[in-house]
Amino acid sequence: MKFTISLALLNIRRRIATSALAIAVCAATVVLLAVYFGNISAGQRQLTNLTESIPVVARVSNLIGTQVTGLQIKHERMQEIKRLENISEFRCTVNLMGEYTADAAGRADAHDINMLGVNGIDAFPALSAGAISMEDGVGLDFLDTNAAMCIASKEFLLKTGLAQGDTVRLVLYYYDYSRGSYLLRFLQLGASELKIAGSYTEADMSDSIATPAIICPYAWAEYIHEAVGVDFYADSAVFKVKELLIAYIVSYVILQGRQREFAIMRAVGTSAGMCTAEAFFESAVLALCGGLVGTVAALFIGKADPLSVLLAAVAAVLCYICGIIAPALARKRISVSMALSGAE
Amino acid sequence: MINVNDVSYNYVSKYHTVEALKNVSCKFENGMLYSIIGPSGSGKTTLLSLLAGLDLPTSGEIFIDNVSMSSMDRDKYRREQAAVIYQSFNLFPLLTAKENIMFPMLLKGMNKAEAGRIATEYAEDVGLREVLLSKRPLLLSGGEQQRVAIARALAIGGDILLADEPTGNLDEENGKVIMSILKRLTHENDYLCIMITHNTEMAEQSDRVYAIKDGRVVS
Ligand SMILES: Nc1ncnc2c1ncn2[C@@H]1O[C@H](COP(=O)(O)OP(=O)(O)O)[C@@H](O)[C@H]1O
Ligand SMILES: [Mg+2]
Repeated sequence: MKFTISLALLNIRRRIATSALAIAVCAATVVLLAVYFGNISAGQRQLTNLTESIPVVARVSNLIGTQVTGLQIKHERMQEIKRLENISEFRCTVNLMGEYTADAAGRADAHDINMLGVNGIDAFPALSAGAISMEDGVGLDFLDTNAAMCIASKEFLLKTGLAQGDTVRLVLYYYDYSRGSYLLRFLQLGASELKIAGSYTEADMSDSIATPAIICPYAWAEYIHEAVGVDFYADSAVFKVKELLIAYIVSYVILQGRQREFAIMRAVGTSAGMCTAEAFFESAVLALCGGLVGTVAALFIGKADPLSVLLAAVAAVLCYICGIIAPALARKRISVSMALSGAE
Repeated sequence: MINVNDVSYNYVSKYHTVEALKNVSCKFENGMLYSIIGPSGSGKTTLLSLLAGLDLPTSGEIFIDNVSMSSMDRDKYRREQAAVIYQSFNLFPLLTAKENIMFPMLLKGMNKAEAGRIATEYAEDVGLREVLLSKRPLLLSGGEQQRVAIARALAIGGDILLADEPTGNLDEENGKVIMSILKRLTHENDYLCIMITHNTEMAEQSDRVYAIKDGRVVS
């Protein structure tokens, strides 16, 4: 226990810039909340304007950061998140597997192809809109509809002999999660056709693990699943958030980048519980410092009564500490050996 | 002594299942330096992770001194008996070289002064100059970082050393030095040392070579 605490304090001290940021955000959250609780009518207008100008982006995605393992978000959950009031610019993705079979002329053999469903091209940051060449008069807006259209990689077109404007015929597959991950089955979803409205080069994509050969509308993927009556799972969601969630997300993000460090701790025999305790203590110290600074600042500004300030401080600190629980639970699930054998 | 008894391991992911190890059986004794060779993707790292208790086999059993891995406290096993050394060193970036070496001892509850004294001894043992001990890993050369990693492994105080391509990121000269340290520890201090390597010359210097191909031990 003593070692855990001294390690946490050492981490805070040696990562001083990050720690200062965490304290500042937590303090700012307290001030914002104090204003919010204290003076609902005037305060709320102010808060709305303030949070509009803070671009906080939440990313719910695979915990290892790749697109190939891990997270499945139930479709109903996605809809719930999307409906939340303090969320905007909602983007989501889903991975699909397709099999391309030769057309009547027999131009190509079967290929397993990697497909990505998105509801906007910015859901897939590895590919910028500028790098896509589209048919004349066609925009990328169709990605937010359930149109049976897609954009395909030049590499895929080359391999299959297809061209922009053609229709690609695919057999789609889905994963049956109903029996738990150890008995994952791969089942057919049926044949479909997509019109190729544009193309891009796979080599242009930055830091993407699984480069998709075809990008299609998320809602189309949803439609195909619903038509067969199969449960639908998304792979990632990105959205902007306002208000309360800010502190939660900052603590989450700050610990996210440290999986390797925790993996090293595990490799030398630190128990999962002790790693969590260390992370918890580290964040709690930062949250309490931030809470204290924020409380003093809020009282000094004098926009709110002391009770509201106290309420705000407690809410912000709790919220911040909650941000530790998610990655701590996640750490139990990531593969320690994978984190460690990766190159520097 | 480690006994690997009919061990298989599968990685199950969303797209497919990879059978990384298939019915592997082998035996490792103290005082012996073992090399594991095999093409990339053949399952070497997977085997080492299982020997380190970072995961359990999908089927089969691993016994450490006749105690089954599945029934023991595997964190404690890594805290007190088995140390792992990696190609990419895996030192704590925020801790100095000396603090890195002290970490396992502090984790076990030793007091700081004594841990510091012993860390200096281990550092000397692997040929780390005293001036380097106050530096953070990123300021050290690859060879120096790997020596810190070995000293930290010694600080565990156990008798098992598991090394995943420990010389993979080093030049030839530094590679030889690291190799000779591992050899000395094995033969003079009765460690059980298992080393994954791509370098046939280094494999030849070990007491026994296991070759793995497609998840099976082939010789
Ligand atoms: N975390 C993982 N998830 C899925 N497959 C993996 C993972 N780690 C390794 N593999 C696969 O397991 C096999 C053995 O890998 P590994 O043990 O790393 O081989 P080596 O160390 O001999 O190069 C490879 O086919 C590799 O692709
Ligand atoms: Mg390997």
